[in-house]
Amino acid sequence: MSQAETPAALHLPANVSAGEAFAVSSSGTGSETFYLIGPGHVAKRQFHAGDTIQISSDEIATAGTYQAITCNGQECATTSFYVTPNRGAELVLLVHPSRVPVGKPDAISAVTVVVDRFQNLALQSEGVTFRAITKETAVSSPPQMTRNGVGWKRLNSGLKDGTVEISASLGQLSERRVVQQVAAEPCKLHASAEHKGDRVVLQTEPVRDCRGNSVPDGTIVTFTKLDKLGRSTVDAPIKKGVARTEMGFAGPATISVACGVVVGNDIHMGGPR
Amino acid sequence: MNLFASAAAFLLCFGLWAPKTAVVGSAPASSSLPRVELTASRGPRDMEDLTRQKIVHDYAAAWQTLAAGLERNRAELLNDYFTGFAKKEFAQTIADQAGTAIHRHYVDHGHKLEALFYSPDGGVIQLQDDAEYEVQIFDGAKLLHSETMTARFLVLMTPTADRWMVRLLQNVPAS
Repeated sequence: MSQAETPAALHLPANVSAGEAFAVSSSGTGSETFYLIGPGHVAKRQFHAGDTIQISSDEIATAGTYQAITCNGQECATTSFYVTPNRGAELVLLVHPSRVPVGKPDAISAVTVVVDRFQNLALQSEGVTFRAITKETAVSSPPQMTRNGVGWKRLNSGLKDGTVEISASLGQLSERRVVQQVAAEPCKLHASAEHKGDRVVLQTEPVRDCRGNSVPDGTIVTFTKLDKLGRSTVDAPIKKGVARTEMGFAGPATISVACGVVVGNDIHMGGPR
Repeated sequence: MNLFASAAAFLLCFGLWAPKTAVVGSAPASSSLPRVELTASRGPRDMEDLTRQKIVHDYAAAWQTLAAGLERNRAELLNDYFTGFAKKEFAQTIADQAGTAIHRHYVDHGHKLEALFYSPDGGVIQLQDDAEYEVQIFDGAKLLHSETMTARFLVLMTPTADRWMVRLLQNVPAS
């Protein structure tokens, strides 16, 4: 709603693309003020009614509704126009999680947001291809059509530990993220004990999942000793594939080992089994 | 402050008189936040009730801070609920306004949200907002333009430690 008198009529193009400079012709006479009010830019300048007003690329980089306002003294007139986004020129790729166990279906979520060169959401539906690439394999999805600028795909994790590169491609555009695939839960956990004076040295065999991948260093293995003094527990991180620790020895004891949800063997020391 | 009080009173009345809809989440009508309703969610991830309430609240708060930022030409007001492309865009707008003595006053009549996409990992949500508001554009004290608008926006929000942030807010034609 503008005030009743129209200072200068503006003749705007019907369709304007983001970042596409254009000229607005005006009618009338005298010095007036021109305002361009948009979602991402605001401008104000003097012009002579009847002249052409140049709208630069930067002034209409953001998609959305703009108001072109002309004011002659206290009287203003407004013309609205819409700036449309362009085709996709940039991909934003969100991949989650950054670490994933091997052999898990739909474990990796890849979401891409397609924006034009001015970071407007590219609304035209386009086919985005997702790929998962490891040293051994490369898997591509069929093109996923974007809706409202968003495309997504769930991906299975691979069967071997190591990095997997997740990428999204649209024409020549490509964006990638790296996900670390780590071993799943240990498949078999076995520990041995060696009695040394008043100490007992405990060590696991290399801890692997059921596909032979080494469980990552830092994973905690819990040793629990039950003897006449009661229960005592030591958490030991896996280092170079094995977990190792020492506990005090005060007579016959049963020592158990566990990692995550996996329970290993029991070790009976210093007495009848 | 009178304008804010009037707006709040209007919103309260609007809330009381609004027709019943299949509302699955809404910002409290009694607060000074704009009224926001989230009426549908298309997945692929199911939305928990608490998440829905949080999104509704934070989106309402985002509009409140955007309106305040554009009215007072204070870009720092965007910091709480805007990030990424949206923050950059509106901060630029506010800087342009401040440089030309222009400001905008919004009277927010409410937002109807539909969740178009909620990512499987819960890391991003895309919303469609059918918003009703009145905007007045001023050059100093001079009113240049006033309009009551029904506008559609596409919104991307991402979660942070304690809130959802607006990452993109784009006006689109209503289809």
